[in-house]
Amino acid sequence: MKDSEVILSVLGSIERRLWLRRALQEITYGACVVLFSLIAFQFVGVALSSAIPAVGTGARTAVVAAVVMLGTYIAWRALRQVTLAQAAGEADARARLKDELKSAYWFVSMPEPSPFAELQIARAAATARRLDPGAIVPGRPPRSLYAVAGLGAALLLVTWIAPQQSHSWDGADAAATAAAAAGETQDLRALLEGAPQDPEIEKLDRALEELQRADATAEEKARAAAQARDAIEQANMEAAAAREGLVRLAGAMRANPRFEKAAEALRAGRNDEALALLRQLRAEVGGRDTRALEKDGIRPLSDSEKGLDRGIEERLAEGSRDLSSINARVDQDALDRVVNALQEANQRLEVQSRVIEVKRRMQEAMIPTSQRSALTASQFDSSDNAPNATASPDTGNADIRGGAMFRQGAVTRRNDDEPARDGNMSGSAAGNSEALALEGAATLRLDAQLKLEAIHRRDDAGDDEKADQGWFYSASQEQKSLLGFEDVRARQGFDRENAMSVERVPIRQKHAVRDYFLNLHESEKK
Amino acid sequence: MNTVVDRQIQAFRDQFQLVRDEISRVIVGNDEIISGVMTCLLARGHVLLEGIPGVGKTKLVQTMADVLHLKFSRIQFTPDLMPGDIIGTNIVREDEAGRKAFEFQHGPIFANMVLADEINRATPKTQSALLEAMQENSVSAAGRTHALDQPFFVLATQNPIEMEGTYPLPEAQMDRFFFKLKLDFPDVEQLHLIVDRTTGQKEPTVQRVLQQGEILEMRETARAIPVARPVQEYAIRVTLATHPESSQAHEMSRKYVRFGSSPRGTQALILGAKVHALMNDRVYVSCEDVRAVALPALRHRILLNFEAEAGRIDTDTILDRILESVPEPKE
Repeated sequence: MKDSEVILSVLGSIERRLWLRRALQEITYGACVVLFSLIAFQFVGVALSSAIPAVGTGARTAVVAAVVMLGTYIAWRALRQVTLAQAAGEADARARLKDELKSAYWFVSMPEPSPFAELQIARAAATARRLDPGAIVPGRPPRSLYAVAGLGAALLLVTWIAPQQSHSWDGADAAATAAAAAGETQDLRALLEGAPQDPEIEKLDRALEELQRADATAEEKARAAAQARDAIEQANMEAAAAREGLVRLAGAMRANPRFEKAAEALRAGRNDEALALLRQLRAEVGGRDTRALEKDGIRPLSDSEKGLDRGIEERLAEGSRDLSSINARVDQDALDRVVNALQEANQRLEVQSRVIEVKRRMQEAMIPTSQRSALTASQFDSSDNAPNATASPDTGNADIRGGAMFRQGAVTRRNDDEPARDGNMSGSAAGNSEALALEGAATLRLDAQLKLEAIHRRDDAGDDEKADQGWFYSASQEQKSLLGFEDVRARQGFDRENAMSVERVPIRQKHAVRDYFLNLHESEKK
Repeated sequence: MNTVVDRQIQAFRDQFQLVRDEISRVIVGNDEIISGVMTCLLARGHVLLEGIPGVGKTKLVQTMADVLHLKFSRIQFTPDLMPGDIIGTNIVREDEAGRKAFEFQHGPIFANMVLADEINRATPKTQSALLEAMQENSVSAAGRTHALDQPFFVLATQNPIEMEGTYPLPEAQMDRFFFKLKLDFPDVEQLHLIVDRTTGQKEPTVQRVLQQGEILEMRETARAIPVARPVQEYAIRVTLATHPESSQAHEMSRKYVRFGSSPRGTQALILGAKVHALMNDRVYVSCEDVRAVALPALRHRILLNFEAEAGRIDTDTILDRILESVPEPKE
């Protein structure tokens, strides 16, 4: 075998081994990337599908497309040929041959090698005969193969541990998720059991039932969620009205010494105690005969005056009026009316507390209750402002959100008894920001500085006068006076600066000479 | 045929080693410098030796002249040296018949080895006269061109300190030198050897071991070494890396270099690498050979900018970084 053939044979063997090794490396590297992406998607996919339910199918398609593209790219890289020159370069580098094979391969390809090149080819052939291609490019598997095995095991583990989370877009998992949601809704309905009879409770229960239904479509569920939200808001509004009425009732009752204790109990929020006191008063009133009542100036009310068909707020207001004066009529009916209204207000508050609990649980279960969008304002806020179940003492509404507070603050007006202050009152959310202090020199309004003057032109050709042919601005009388004053003051200043001393040297020049020597002296010190 | 070439290469190595050993009898250490000077001689180049006074620049050249059977002349460059003092001049001669005629009196440049001692002390005009002869291998005087005898080898020395009253060589003229070699201060052991050798009763002497014809043969052998294209590409990449405006420029070149190496630099890299390969018993040039000669071949061909001067960055530092970063061609 000729020297050149020996070299080419050895290089060919090294080339095949290099190609196989590179293909394996590329494939295992690509597998590593794919496996790692799948593991990462197990976690990312769950989060995405929870936030946006429709993302499941799209994400799966994107993953499949990415894997196909990556596979194509890896196949392209793996199938690239290794040239003999590259094999020679690799062999030189790995066997520390100082470019011997690379140069020999180059000289082999020369048309007419010189004697020195031929000698080099012969020497390189001798070296190539001693070379073991297996030692230069070992047949051991690449290290990335172990990484593939590890990542594959990790993927299996992740898929096995959290199957319900890893493929939330699958039908079976979706059914499991729906079942879990239905169970959650059942728990919510259980919260409403034993609640007072109330239309809002019934409405909320119906909405929850709709949400619980397994075959409900997404649109039906959204509609049910909207109904639940309306019911909750209505219950909150009614409870707020009841609270306001109770506050007024307490204020009115405080004016009457007989109801003072009940009023204190109402103010402190001890409604049951106030109710008990009022019932005791009613019992006392009920024990006396009608004549005694008439003697005291109290007569019984007719049934039409009981007003059971009116709203709780109105009835509490009426009770407030009845009980606000010591001379008002206090009979059994009036007290009955107040007691009934108080009982109903308590019921409203009880309904509200149930509703708030349901709302909190719904929010925890990611069921929108406060806004049309799934993204609530609180989701843009910090976790410190997360909704809680503690109702506001004023409104009973626990849904205190940053956006609502800002809007509320932006329209807050100052109290009328506050002293009047200049400046913008709508700058801050509280609505009571003060104006900035005035800066700069005072200026006159333009209409004080200038006046509009019309130009009257007389037409020489005729006697008739054409008025208001044009107009311009001229200085007003005030402006003329001010400018004249400034002119006089400037002239005085100039005269003072230009005044001669005894030596007939202007003072300004003397000052300049003095400054010059002062500066000179300073520079000398430096 | 291979036997003939083998013998030729073996002769080259033996003669090279012989010269080096003979010089080493007088010159202590500086093996790389001796090899560098020999490389320049065999690659048909000229060498610039730089070092502080007393490190043996002139002694090295004198010893080399003694070892090689060549005509040697020494020119001490001074500010009042004129071109005619180097090249020669026409003088009026009167023959026996009483007739007068101009005759060209050859200057010291008509030698095989010329030592231009402290070349930067002469005026640029005089420097140019020498450098022109270096480039053209011929001298023009009084309208006639006189060819210089081969091998023609100039060894110039210069002192990096005491720059007052000197005329630093312009970059274009520096480029004419094949290598620029720096002689460092000897270490303690070398100083002991120097003192031992030079302060005794008998100073070491050398023998002439290489004839003029042998040198010319060695030159031909060195030129015959083939270079594979990938290695040549590596040398070109190294050269281009010194050019700040090149797409292959190194980061340090972009920052500190005003002008990169000329094509003569690449030629010097390849020719020097050929000699280096032969010295290492190889009949091909490897990238390692290119790296071995890169510093002396390129250090004087790179022009630094103000930023490098201010930051005390020298060309050797930049070349070291370039050689570290430029990859060898894989195929």
